[in-house]
Amino acid sequence: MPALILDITLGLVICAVALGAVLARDLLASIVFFIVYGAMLSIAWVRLGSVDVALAEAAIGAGLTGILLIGAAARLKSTERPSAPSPLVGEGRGGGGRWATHSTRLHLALIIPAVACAGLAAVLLFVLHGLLHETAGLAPLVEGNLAASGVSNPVTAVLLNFRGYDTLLETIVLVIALVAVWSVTPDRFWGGAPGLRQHARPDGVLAHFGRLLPAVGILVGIHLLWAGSHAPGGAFQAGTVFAAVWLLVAMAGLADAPAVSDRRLRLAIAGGPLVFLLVAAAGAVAGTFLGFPNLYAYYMIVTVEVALTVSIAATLAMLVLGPPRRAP
Amino acid sequence: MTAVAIFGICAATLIGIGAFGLVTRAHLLRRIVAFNVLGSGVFLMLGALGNRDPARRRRPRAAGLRHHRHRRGARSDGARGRPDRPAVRGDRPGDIAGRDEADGPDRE
Repeated sequence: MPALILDITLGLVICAVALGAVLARDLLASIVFFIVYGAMLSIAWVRLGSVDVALAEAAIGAGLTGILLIGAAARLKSTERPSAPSPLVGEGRGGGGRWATHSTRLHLALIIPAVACAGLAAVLLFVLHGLLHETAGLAPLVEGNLAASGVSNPVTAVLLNFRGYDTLLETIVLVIALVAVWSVTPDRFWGGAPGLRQHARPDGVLAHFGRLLPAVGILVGIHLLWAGSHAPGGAFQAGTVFAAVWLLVAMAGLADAPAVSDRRLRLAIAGGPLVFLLVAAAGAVAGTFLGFPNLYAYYMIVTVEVALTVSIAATLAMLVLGPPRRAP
Repeated sequence: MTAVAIFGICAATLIGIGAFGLVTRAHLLRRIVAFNVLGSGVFLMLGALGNRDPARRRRPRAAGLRHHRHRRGARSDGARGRPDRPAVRGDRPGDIAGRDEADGPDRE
């Protein structure tokens, strides 16, 4: 019973926070709602028994996306016109007069989508109700083949062995995203370090935490990486924690990020997908592309996970720091 | 009502909220936020549906939870929200080998 009350409360809080993220008048408030939403959602994933998803949601959904959105909002602010007329809802600025003059149109413009979206949710609920019969899904298939995968954590087995293609393409997408971010660098800054030079008061909170937390973060990251083969954890979670450590050190002004032309940085970023491809090719020699022979599967997966962790950490940190804004 | 049903309803609501935001918001970032809400709603719905297997639900996932269950003995299913379930494998102290971290093929 207490668990039921917790689940219902959690569900209500998640929906309320999501409403806040969508309806908040201020952009920054909307982003803050969204970060809280991610944190609440990760608790829901724990309640559903998917600790791996919860870790990913907390780290990437709430943390990283939140930082990226705040950064984007700060940059968009400088490009915005002072009073951009919005055809629909006033985004918190100069809305009073418009609400009075166009109230009928405005109401229709809100009521019709609201009804349509409520209908969509109702249809989904109807479909969901039809699907609620108990079924094992693909879980028995995964567990039946777990012994052949080389690891005992089913999530890692699926991600790196059974559905290795998905993960391989996912890591390549990350690298492409970073290439896209770097490609908007003005010519005069190309080859410089990403972002602006960070300054923090040497005796301030940020500088203090920048020295204190990395030790803990590195330990947690190594644990997550190592635990991935038999418990919740893995390359994405560990990589995000390492990226957070790196960002903290960079934002506290303790160590500057390397220049985007730095060969070691580029090797670290491309290393994950490269090692994955090499290991996949080694599998091709043994029989199937991306197929891991049972005997070596564990070592192959750990090799890929370590390379992916380094790659993901570097890519995510560079994504947040943004394109170079300083001359080399 | 099980956790699957609760979070299924929650997911459908989130998809509705996200779709509403996507249609009615003009600002680019507001649309991205709304789309993320929609996407995570879809993901949550799939996650809830992936949790329908009763055998999967019975297994404790995290080590801490497992420890907790063992301390409380066989009648500890309340931790997973199903007080009506019979005692199952994994509830006996010492029977922790192997399959506790079963977590399904669902992840981003």
